[in-house]
Amino acid sequence: MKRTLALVLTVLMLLCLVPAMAEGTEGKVNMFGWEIPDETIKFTAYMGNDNPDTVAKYAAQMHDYLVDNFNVDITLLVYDNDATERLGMMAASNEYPDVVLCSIANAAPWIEQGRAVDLTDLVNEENTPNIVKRYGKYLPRLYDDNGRLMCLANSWGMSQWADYAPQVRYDWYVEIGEPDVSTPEAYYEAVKQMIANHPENASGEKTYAFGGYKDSSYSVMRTWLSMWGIKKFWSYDEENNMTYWPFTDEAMEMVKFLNQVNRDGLLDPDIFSMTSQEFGDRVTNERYAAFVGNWWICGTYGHEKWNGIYGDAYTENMRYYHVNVAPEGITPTYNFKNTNGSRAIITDHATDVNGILKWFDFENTDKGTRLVGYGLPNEEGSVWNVYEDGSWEYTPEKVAQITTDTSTFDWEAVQMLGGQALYVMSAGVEPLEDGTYYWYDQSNVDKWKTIKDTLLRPTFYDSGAFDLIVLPTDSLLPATKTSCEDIAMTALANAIYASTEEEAIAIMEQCRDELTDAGIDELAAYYTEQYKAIAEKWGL
Amino acid sequence: MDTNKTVTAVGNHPRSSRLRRRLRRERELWILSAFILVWLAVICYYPMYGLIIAFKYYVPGKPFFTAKWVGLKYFSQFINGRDFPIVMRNTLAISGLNILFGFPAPILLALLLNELKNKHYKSVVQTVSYLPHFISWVVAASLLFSILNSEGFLNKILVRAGIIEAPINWLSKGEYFWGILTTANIWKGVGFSSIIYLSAIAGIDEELYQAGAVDGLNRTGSIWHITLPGIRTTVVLLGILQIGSILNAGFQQQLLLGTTQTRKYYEVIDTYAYKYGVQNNNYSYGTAVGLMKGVISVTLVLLANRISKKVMDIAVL
Amino acid sequence: MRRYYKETHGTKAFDVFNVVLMFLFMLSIIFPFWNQLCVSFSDVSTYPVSNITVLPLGFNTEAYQKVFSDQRILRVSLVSVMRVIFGTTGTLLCTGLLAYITTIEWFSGRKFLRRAFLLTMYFSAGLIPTYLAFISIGLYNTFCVYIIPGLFSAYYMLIIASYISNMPTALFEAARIDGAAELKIYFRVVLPISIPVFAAIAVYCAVDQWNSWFDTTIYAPNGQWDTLQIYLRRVLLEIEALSMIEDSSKALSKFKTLTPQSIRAATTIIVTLPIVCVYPFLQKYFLTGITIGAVKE
Repeated sequence: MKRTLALVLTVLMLLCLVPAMAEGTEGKVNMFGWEIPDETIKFTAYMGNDNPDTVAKYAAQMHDYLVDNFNVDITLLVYDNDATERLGMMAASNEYPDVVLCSIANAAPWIEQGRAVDLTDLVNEENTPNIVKRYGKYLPRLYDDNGRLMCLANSWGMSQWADYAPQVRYDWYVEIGEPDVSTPEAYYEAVKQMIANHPENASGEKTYAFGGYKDSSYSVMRTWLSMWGIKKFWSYDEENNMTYWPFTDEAMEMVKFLNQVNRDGLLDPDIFSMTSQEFGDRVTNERYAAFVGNWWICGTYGHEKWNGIYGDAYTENMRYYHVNVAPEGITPTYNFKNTNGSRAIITDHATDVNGILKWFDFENTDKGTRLVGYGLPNEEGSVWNVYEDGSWEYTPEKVAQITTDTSTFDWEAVQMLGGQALYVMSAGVEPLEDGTYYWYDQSNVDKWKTIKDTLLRPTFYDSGAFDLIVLPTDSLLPATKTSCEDIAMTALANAIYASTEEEAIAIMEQCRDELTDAGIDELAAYYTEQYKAIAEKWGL
Repeated sequence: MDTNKTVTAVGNHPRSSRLRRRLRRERELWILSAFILVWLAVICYYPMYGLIIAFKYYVPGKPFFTAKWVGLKYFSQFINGRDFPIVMRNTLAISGLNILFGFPAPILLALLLNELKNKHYKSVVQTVSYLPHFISWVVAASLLFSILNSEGFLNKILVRAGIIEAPINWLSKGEYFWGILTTANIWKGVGFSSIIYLSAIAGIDEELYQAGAVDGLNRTGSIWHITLPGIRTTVVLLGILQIGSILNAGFQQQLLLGTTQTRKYYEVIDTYAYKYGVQNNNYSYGTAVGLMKGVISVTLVLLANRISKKVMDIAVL
Repeated sequence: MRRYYKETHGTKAFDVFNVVLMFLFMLSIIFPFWNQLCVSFSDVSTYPVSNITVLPLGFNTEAYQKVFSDQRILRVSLVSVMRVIFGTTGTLLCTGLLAYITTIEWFSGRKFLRRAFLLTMYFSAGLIPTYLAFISIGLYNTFCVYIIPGLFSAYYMLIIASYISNMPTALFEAARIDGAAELKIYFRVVLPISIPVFAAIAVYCAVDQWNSWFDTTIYAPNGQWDTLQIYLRRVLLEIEALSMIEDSSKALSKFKTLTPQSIRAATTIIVTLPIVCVYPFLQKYFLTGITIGAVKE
């Protein structure tokens, strides 16, 4: 009796186990193509300087989803203080997470101090096929001089959209018959005509040709200089000898140009004292006929706001339209592409290096990249949907919003699902197989963005070799760089607002002397030497 | 007077017993001090070993003590820096203006408040006056921008009044920067700083005013002969401490109100050290500048204390 | 304050001038606050903030609703209040005692104590060593990191001491001859006669504690001890961090979810109001002068 009972029970148990086991093996690969591991892959990652409150809020849902469906438990860490400072504190106290994302300069001491796991033998065709495939030619660039791979990259690669562009107020531009604006002179002529038609805004405030704002990377002035072909404040000859911008004739042309605009009374006098938000308010108040700089700032403060303010009186042409402007014989360099991205280090505190690498490898599959970029699919507010058979699509309703009127698109909802690249650690901005990206707004573009990206395509360049150069901290070079930047920008600001052209030229000439005095030659020599070495290594 | 008594009382005894007596008398105070000293040692002095990196090339993550000695390299880098003369000039000018106008301002406000007859009005003004302390510089700077920009409030008034012909871009002209900054500093700090003077005035024995009136002191007379002497120690003390902070000319307000065009007027030691130290990831540089500032400050404070002792017979340290 | 001198035309004219002057001064202060209040009640997604001056545009209370709908606000407020209460009490009692000790003229350690504290005003160990020290003492990520490092302050010590030293020493000596212990003298004699200065320092301490945010970011970053002020700072600093991002797409995505200026203004108001109320409460201690004679009796 007992024996029979035991037998029956055993059989019953086995019968119960069979479907469970079958389900187990079958469910091992989820609809994202992720092979669910038996043991939870658990790691913490420092993502840089951000607001811990918002990151915690945005990360929560994705975190739980990954635990449930991927058996992956990722904790994102961000701190209020500056990344360099926090990284220094982490290294000093020896308390840091399993993964550290940081800039190239900040990664160097970590690698040097042996805190990074050597990935040379772990990243290969067999172990991490997707990383190898997707990084492509950018993978070899990550190896150091000794042939070791100490880190991966984050947001690496060459994106295919334009970040910076000259712009005109489109309805005003249409009014004057869309004349040619391909040279700075023609561009300015057109803008002057537009101002003549609209000398004041509705509340009687004077309109200007161009505006700008102060920021730490001087992006407005950098974009103006790139109209004359200067790359991130440096000019290169055929042999890649580098010259700092004040020493070039092109920059002098640019200074003369803006000085002329200023003397015509058409340059906003507050460019160097306004914050981006104060500038944006003036854009909303219709104070500018044109702008040279970031592509989205005039959109955010321009048509997206006007749409709400003017209601029915708003027309689609009320917006800033991107144009390509270049002086004769010069290829403008509006859009630098930092193909290195930033660094992703797996630290020596990581207990599950293989698990982390497995996750990174998944991140580099098309679906993985989308997951970390767009956030969760199949939820309310999701911008994309994934189906059990592995196929996927963008949510049509969301696509309609982002391509017709971006002001109705709910960015917060996307972030609440972990989207807008919150979880990106090792993925790149190179186009995926179907030509889209992990940035949702760049994957679904309206006709205006298409015009911008096609028109400005020739102004893209790979600034990776330059961005890779780290000035040695125990030398005087970082200090020299800081003083040179200060001297040059102060001179530029004063030259633009000089009351005569002679004065502007005199200011720039004095600036050259000051730069030479401050040691610009050594800095240029160091950059040139490093640049050439990297270019040779990369076969540029 | 008390000290004299003690000295004469113990004067006849041999040294050791004098010390013992003294210790016995001070035993209680030393026990209390011991707790304080432990706190001081652990919280303040123990971490100061870190100052050693001013003389070393330190990279965070490596031990402090094995870092390479570089001697006075960072000190000389700071002093021989290209902009050092300008930075020193700005620091001293801005601090000087702060001492000249910013230091007396709260005293004046406290005196004026004290002269208000209506108790309720006085307490309202007092409360309101300390509000700007709570406005962050970010907000204050954007308000200043809206007043001072090329088409701001100030230009509109001045142009309409015919005082200036064309609007002046106040924030982009270096020559105005110090004035703007000093005014902003005073506006923000005057109410909050006056609290201490108000409390000092409150501590003046009221009988003195009564006696003064009997002696025929009028309003100015009682301010001059009773109120001011009554807060004299506080004023001198804060004055001496202020001299010690002469090298702290501000930081955030400079970065927010300064522009590329006014860099040669706004750059002060702290912004400069931040740029060349922190932003270039050079801890040693920042520490060296901090150490140098500390040495200069302490020297100035001790000097000022000595002078005040000689001239006014007030020693605060 | 009671007036003992004789009123004349001159003093009356001065009174009028003084009232007017103070009124203008208040105006210059109230305007920015009013402006922030208007911004907090405006529809900033439509109207440019710089167009808002003395009246809200598109009046609504959404910003306040949004701030108060955050569950965390209660907890962080509680931490802030605890910080102010414990921090202020601790600093007042400890620094007051220290100040008293340094005013006892026959105490041989007084100069040493004063100077040892003075040095701490001008030399700081630097961020990393202090951080490491706090970890090794066990203060890191605890509530105590807000209280213990601030127990003794050189600056307040000097101010309180200068006040106490203005008092007649006979007061303390009398108690001492009666055989009172030093701590008892401190609580029974020193504290009561120094109420105005303690009230002033209490205002300073409370405001300091309330306004502090930097120590949270460095020494208590795990979120457990977040205060109302750090909550506000994060909202205000977002915009500054934005200008550091070089990657344009990253900047855009940050920009799109930037806290609206109305919420920033609302948070500023919410964070400022409670601490502003502390002052009128303590103010009564400065309104009338004290009479030392009364204490003696």
